[in-house]
Amino acid sequence: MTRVLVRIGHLRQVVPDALTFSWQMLSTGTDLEGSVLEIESVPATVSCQACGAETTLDMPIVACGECFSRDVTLLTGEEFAVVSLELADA
Amino acid sequence: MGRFHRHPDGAAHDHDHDDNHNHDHDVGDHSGYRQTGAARVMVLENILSENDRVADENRRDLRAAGVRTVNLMSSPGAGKTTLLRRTLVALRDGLRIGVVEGDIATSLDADRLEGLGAAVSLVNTDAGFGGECHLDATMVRAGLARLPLPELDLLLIENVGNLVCPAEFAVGEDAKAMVYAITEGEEKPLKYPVMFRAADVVVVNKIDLLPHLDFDLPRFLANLADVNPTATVIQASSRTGDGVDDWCDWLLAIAGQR
Repeated sequence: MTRVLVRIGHLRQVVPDALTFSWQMLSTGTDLEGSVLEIESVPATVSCQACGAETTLDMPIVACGECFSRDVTLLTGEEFAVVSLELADA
Repeated sequence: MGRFHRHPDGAAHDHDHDDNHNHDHDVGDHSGYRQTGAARVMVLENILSENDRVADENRRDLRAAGVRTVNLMSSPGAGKTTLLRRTLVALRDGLRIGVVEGDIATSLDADRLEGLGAAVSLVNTDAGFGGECHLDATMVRAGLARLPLPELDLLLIENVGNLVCPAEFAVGEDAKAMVYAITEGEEKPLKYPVMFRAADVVVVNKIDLLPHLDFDLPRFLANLADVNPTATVIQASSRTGDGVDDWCDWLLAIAGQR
């Protein structure tokens, strides 16, 4: 395996640098040594029921960025998944 | 997008909603990648799916036994165990209660719950000194095996004291409760939004200390509403017993007894 793509939302308590560091540390001496952990970071976005806007959160305050209503639905930001694995030539 | 930004099957960016958000995945990220030869296997699997699967098993077993379950979380020293002691005394005549007691080390907290009429199952998360900072579904499952589930109405899971990790791990609970002490400061909901957002109820504990602290209660409540506008808020003191009735009423409602 040469590359692993993970998708992590901003509302997950994952620190990308710490995750990459741990990946390197744990993979050393295994078949995964030298493989790259690629992190696709997904911003937290909300859709507002009051004004219809879709906005990105820059604070952990779950409110519309346009009208500040709290009547919002979270669209993205809670992702925590392995998306794909890339294999070296056999 | 950059020239190497190829997604052969398109699935890598097939989000489960129709929002084309700006993930920060710029041109340079894929340089030198996917040029020849390598095979890409799409997985798209939740990293916590194994935990969630065991949590679902726990929930199914608990429900089948007629048990409702609350995951109790807080920072260390916020007063979870003292509140639990009060709770067991207040509810023991009406409800049959079990406790899964999670701690990194020692049986000190489990010992404090002895003799109060509850079935207590201790789950130490340590291996030597130190250890896990949260309970996951598998640890709770081990704790459940030592409890007489069919004889219980309500299970209280006292998580490891920590404002970060417990929020990420479902354990099979029906509701998440948080104990927050006013000695922790007003800004904590903004600093630990994931935990505060996950809570169905927040017990604002040590409220008897309010006259002695610079704590700004309205500001705390506003900060909490910013991250979690729908949480039930109960002001209480597990030391004096103030507000414990409100907390017990909330538990009775969860247990379907009110």
